[in-house]
Amino acid sequence: MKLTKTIFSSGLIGLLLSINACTEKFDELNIDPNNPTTIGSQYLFPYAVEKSVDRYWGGNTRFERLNLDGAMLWIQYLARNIYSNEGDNYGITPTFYNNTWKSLYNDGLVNFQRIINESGTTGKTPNKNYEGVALVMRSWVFSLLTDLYGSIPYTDALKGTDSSPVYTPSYDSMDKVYAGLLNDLKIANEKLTVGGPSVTGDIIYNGDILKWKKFANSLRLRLANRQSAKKSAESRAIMKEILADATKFPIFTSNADNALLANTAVRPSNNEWHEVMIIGSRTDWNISKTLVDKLSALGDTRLGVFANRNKANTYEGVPNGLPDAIATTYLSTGSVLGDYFTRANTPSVIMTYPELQLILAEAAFDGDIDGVPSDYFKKGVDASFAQYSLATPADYLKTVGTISKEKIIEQKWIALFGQGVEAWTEYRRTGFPKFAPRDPRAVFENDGIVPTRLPYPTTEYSLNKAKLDEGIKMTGTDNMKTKLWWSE
Amino acid sequence: MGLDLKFLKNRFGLDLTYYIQSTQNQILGVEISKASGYFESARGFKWDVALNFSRNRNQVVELAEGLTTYTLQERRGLTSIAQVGMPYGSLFGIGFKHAPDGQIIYQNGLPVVESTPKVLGNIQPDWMGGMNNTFSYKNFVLSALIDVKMGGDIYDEGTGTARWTGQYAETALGREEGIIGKGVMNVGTTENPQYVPNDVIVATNQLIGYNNPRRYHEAAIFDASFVKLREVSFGYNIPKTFLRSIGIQNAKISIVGRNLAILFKNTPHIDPEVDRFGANQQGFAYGELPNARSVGFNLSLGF
Repeated sequence: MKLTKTIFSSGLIGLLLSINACTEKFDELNIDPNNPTTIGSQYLFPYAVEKSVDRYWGGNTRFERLNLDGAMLWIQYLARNIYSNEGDNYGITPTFYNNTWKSLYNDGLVNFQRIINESGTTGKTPNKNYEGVALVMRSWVFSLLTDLYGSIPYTDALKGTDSSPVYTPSYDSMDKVYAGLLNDLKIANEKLTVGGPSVTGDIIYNGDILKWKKFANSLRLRLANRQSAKKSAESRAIMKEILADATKFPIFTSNADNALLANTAVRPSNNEWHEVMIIGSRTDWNISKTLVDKLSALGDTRLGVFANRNKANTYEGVPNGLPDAIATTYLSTGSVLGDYFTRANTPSVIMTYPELQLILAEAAFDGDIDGVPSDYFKKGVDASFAQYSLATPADYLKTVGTISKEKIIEQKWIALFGQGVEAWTEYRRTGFPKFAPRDPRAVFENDGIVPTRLPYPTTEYSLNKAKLDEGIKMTGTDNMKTKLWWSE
Repeated sequence: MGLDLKFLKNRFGLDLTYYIQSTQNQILGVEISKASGYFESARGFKWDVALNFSRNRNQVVELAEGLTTYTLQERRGLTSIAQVGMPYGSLFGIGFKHAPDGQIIYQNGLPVVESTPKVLGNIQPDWMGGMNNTFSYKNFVLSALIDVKMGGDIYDEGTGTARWTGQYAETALGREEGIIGKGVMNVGTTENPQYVPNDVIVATNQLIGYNNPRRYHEAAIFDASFVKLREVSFGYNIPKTFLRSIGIQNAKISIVGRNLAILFKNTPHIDPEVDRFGANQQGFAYGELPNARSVGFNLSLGF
């Protein structure tokens, strides 16, 4: 009897205990004590960098290759010898614009924001250099997004896990995003401290903070120059601020400062073009006729790096937008992408010193900054050749001729080879380079207009419709023909 | 609320269930179902009929705070969504422009694509039902089951892809001379449209390109209705007199066939009763095997 009682009471106690455990420590019970629940910046950073840069430089998923199936074709660096209706004719799939958006926000920005939160002064592991590099990368990705789509969630974005979360972020107009980014980059430069706390997992500059400062300020110059026709006074002030103090605001001074993602021979950290064209064995691309013609006319030796000679030992470009029946006839004769660009460890280029010099050439030409435009121009051209271990041919600049806005942007177009998105953005802004008349056999969608932007993702229509509608009011009609804010 | 009635010495029965169910803290369909059956017998001949019918109507009432749409599944930018105020499982993606009478609008011989996404269909059927007939005569039993699903859409990439890439016979139509798409074109103005049948000839490969499910989701959305002869069985009850001598109470031998025929469907090429992901992600197909037909023998013994 006593035994029964004991069993009964222990049972009762057990029951009470279990009730307590379930109701009061529920949250704690769900925390896995054996596995990490947060990830350190040294792991988040390379992941976010690689995801963002691969998306921008490649990508490797068919129907959503932002650069290879979009920008590189639209800016006529490359042309298709098959499946020209997968981008080369200006037709793209919803996954192209849905997943570009998704990846840049979810894989890139969300993680950069996490690093900023963790390494900020109120974060768990304060580190102003981590905060700085993440802020630079966040700014770069935001600038990609706004240049691709127009108005985007910026101020309200990346707050899905905040204490008062925002699930349906509002859109900011492009000029507001630009103003925000120009300010963010200034803050990043202030945070970044040479000799300050170390940064690991940096697959761009290997922890060299001075180079990060240079990238922050150079990127700021790029954005200031982009908006200079729309916000002249603001842009001039920013450029002046940076160029007046090289100690406080260091900028790229040689190709050694270039912002590059160091690819390796080991997948998935290999060059995206290697992934697609060598690992994936895709032979769908040739060098565009536009590029071959232009570089041949200039006697530009960079062509030998950008393209391989065909079997007849010449460079033959393929016209853009040819229907498959015609395009496929070029498969055996068209020049393909140069070997350098399909190597596993060829770096993905984010921003370079030659580009910066050509930005400054334009700014000087427009009177936004002091200095002789042709000096910057020459430095930019020389550095672009040097980037590929080439010397500028002796009479090259003479062949190019008198400097003009068109010449500057045309040289920038050549220098940006590979960085399709940036070259396409500059084309959309300036209308340069001027392309030769189209091949009469070419067939284009989008009323034949070179895409001016990407449509907003279908998921924004289903998940964030009210805010998107406000965003569309700022951007203009949601199609691929609406000109963006910085169009001159 | 349930009702179970039996009339005329159980010759006629009716079993009705009606319920309004509010499912909370999860995302699930609401069910309302009905069933009825009847049989008749005369001179050793017996005919049993069992009918069943079910119909679902539901609406997403509320999602987690701050959310109005839940994405159930995504393929190629087409999503199946549960959006507040709409039925569960709406297919949302890129479609074509339609005239007020529903026909596709063409321009220069090609379908006009809507630049913004919209609801293109819903995965849920209008109703489902079945009928089982069993005929018995002396020792023979013949039964046949027919299954019906009416309505409910499916996004079938397989059909769209095979059409787009010119693999189905219908894409050979007009291969040399071109083709006229079925629909209308606007011969009026944008403000005052006047629609007449499209009469512009275009190259066939250009037009069939509009079946590409990766770009034009609507072209790959099909009505997944079907009427199927699900099962037929024919059996023979071996006479007991014969069995008793070997110590068996009863024995029946029968031949049973399943999935014998699709009596009706609206999908041109596939068995519409396929599903790639199942559960909450239903409504998507891409190259699934059709439901297999099987024929077998049954021998049942009772001791």
